[in-house]
Amino acid sequence: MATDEFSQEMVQTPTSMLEVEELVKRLYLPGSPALIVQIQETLQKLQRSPEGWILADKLLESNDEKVRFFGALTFTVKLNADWDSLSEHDVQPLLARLISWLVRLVSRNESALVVRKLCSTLVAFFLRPSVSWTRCLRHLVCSISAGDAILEDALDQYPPTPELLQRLSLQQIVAILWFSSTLAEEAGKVNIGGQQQHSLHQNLTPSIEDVVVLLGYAIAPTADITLKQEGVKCLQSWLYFAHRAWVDQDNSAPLHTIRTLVEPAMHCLLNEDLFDITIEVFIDTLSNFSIFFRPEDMDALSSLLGTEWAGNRFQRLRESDFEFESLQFGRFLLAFGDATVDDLVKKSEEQSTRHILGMLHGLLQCEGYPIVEDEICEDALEFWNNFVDSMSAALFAEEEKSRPWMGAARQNVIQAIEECWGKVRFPPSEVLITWDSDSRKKFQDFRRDVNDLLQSAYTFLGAEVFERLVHLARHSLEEGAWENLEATLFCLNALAECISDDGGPEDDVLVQLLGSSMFSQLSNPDIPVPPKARQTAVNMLGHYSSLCKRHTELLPSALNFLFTTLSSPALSTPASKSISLLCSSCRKSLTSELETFLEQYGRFLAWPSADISTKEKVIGAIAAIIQALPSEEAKAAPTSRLLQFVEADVQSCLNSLANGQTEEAQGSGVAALRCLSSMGKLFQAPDDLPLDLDSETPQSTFWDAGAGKEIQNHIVKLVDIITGALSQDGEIIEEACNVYRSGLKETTPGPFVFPPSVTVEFILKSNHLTPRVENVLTTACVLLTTHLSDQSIRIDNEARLILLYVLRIVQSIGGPSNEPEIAQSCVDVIMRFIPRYINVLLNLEVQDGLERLFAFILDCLRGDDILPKRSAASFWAAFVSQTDQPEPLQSSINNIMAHMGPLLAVTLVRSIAGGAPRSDLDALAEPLKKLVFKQPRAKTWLEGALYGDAFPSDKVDQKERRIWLQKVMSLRGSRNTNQLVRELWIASRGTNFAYAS
Amino acid sequence: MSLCLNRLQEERKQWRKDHPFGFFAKPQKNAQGVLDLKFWSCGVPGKDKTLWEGGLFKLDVIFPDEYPTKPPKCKFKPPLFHPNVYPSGTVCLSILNEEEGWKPAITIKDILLGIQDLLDEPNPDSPAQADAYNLFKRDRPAYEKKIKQIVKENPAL
Repeated sequence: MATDEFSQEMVQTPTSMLEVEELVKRLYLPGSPALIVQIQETLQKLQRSPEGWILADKLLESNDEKVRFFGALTFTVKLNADWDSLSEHDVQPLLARLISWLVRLVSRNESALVVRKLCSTLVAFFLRPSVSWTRCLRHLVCSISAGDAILEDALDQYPPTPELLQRLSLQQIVAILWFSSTLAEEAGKVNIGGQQQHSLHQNLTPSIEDVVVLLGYAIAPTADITLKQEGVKCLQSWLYFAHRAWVDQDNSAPLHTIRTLVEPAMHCLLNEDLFDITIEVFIDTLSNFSIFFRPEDMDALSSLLGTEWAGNRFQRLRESDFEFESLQFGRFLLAFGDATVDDLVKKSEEQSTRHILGMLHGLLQCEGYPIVEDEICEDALEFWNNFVDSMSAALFAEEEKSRPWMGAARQNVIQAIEECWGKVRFPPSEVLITWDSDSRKKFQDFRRDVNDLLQSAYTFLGAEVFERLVHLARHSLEEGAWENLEATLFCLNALAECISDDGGPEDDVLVQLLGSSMFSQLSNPDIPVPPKARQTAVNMLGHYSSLCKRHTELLPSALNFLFTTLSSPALSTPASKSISLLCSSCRKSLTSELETFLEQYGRFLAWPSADISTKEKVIGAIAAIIQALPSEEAKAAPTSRLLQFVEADVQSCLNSLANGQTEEAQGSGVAALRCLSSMGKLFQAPDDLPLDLDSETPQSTFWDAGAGKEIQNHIVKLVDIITGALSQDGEIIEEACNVYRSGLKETTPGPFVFPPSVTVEFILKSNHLTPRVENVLTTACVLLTTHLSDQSIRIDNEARLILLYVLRIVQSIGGPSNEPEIAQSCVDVIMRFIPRYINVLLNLEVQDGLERLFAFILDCLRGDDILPKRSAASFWAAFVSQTDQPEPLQSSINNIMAHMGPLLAVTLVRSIAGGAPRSDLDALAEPLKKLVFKQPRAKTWLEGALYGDAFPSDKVDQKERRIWLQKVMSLRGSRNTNQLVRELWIASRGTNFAYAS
Repeated sequence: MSLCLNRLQEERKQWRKDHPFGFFAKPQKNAQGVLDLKFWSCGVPGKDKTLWEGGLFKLDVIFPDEYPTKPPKCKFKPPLFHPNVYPSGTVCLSILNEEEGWKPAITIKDILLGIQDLLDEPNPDSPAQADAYNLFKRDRPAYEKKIKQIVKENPAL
């Protein structure tokens, strides 16, 4: 507080120039933010006052650099904010004043700070829309050489600019260069395409010639080094400007003369002191604006890359000098490569191209691990990806005959792949542990980019790339070079998705590797294989599962390897995935291995890596093999063996519970149930099995009675024990539902395909208080859905029990908003009664039951909860469409509609007329469309809703509502109704809501 | 159409030049082996220091002919357990909705980063699947447990 009061006292409006100067100096001294703000405000007031122009002059006369800076700033403020206060006659004298200041200050060796500020003031003058200062640059040159501002009309009386430049001092030319740079930078900020940009171009065009002369002088080989530095920076600014201006082709022609500066700029590259700034210019322009360079410029750059200078720079990079300068050279090379990639592809045999490609290969061969040590290979890889893209594009654009370049280009890609192979190798684990997580991620990203290269290159490399890699892999295997083997398998994994599911010439090549001793070596605990190599081999079996399917002779050793890796916690997840994938897709070929796998599973259960997710995968895998056994009888014994394994978890669940260890009990319970549902899923017959529609063979009755029935009972009992013991656990309920659902999806009999009554019995054990009862309701949905088609048996009795069960839940929860999730599931179940079990629905034998259900569903539609609302909308759309049921059902439906129709119409109209959130409109349009299309009295009902008091908005008058209804009716439920729904919603809410439509 | 393809070509270039850690995005080949720029296969990693850390979730991004006037469709493959992912796997996100937040200037990078944000910050106002939404709303510990399990099944490495 004290400081504020103090500062308020301090900052008073100055009354003399001396006080103004003091205040400006205070501005640049340390002080409280509040004080600084006050000073700024006071000074701004002075600047903006009519005397501001004179103030600027006075300030520039000061002895203090900061005050002079503020003087130049004041001119800029006036130019931008108070331009309109000037009369037409004031403009030229003002320019003369500004130029005069520049001339004077530069001649007095003014500091860069002030001169630069004044240059930007002059640029601000140039950019005023009404100003025409056509030869601004020459005007400055002539004025500086004359020692004071001259008239622009007098420019012709002065010698040519090149001659004048020779007479100027270093400081004077630098000042003109600063002006020129600022001019390009500020002009580049003007919006592209606008009228403003167009006239700006016109104004700039006459000066471009002067810019080229100025820059040509500044960066000439003989010029002073400081001048060259400033010249290159200025060139950079003009190239940025030209890049933007080039978009507007009509205006670019004058800019073409800048191209004459490429050659002197290249000379600057050779100068050690100019290398950094100049190479930046070339990298930027090659990367973003390569059309700037003419063919002869490209040739010159190409020759430059062939010189000893380039050779030395390249060599430094190759020797792992990743200092900034060295990397910049690499980037320059890559930018050149990217800019000429199409030529490099098609002329890769030419001498000069070969040299450049050689260097580009070299960038993939520097020492060090990618990213972590070698900082160039990532960019180099990007180039090679572009190279391959360019090849692909050319490949599809040209006829086969006209591709003489193909062979050589292919060789280059193969070489690049082999170089990348050297780069994707993981370091030994003692090095790897020193990497932080960022480094690891970046390294993985690099590997992924190599994946890209391999996949794109496959298009024209074909089986050859497999041959090379398999050869490398076998060689690494012989040598025990595990990191190399890992790299090769990684590359092969990348290519897996390229080969077709039917196999091809690659199969034979791959079989040489997969059928070799590789897996047995990798399984051998006595060989110190790094975990990463094992992991990539595990992944390989996942990637090449369809190959294994075609070559089942590979399966035993592959699966044996996978089962051994289950012992490693790091590998058990991918290994169990691959086991599951292979066993399920090759189940028929593995029946002979069943016994071994059962034993291996038993052993695996004792390992710490046997957690829920690995167990469920492996047990499911074995179930898949059992499913493939030729007879149902043969499936009984091994299924029982699997159930015994599950029973161990059930027992452990009970034991934990007895010991009061609830969490452990829950874990074992979930494990048991997930193993069961995984078995159930994999017991489903594979989809790709040919369906024999003409088959007369009756479906097996093995599971309906006897040994089969006992197994089913066993499964049900296991689920019962767990759900009984942990009935208040939501996860347990959900997993138990999954067990039942796994069988519901299956059409042929099996151990998990229970009679509908068994599933219903399970469902009826729950009530609205059961945790996650939604899952139970969804199970009921699935049961009904699988019995909806005419081919399936009717389950009227089960449907009746389910309906009563749903009614009980509906009554227990009260309104839908009390339990929106349960409400939604209830509606979903009732929906499943349409159309096949509509008789059950309509004949609900509970007093008022049906009314309650319909009222409930209407409440759902009316309520705020999104999901019940959507389900209710679907239900009503389905229900109002029921118009051709047999009697007496149809009469009942019509009676219900006579009662519900008006209510439904009111609810729909209220929602559509702004009541519902916008995102629900499509869902709400469905019942409206069906109502209009199917129900003859729809118009009357909708009229009642639209014209009555229930209409919620006063923004849509009666006439508009009538027109809307006419339109809706005439569309007869077609898709365009959705648009009308949206329109009414927007109109009712007011136009503020009409966003983005 | 050519606007669509030009833009996608540029997107691809930009992605190669610069993309966030752990993500991947690339056009797929069609049945003839030709690159289909309108069909990308992408991967979104779970964000560090969230439940989703360590997971990598794959999705297809499918661009309509009218792109970039219209947004692409993003579909997790397989469908992801998440309140804002439809049972089909399609992501429900405002920036992907033509009538809400879509703008032609939105890049693939923006989209994938948006989806990454969505993973740990579901939007309870636009549920797309009942399973994840209900669990998220009613039983947060169980929801979190399930996410951890999903992350474990979809490891980043």
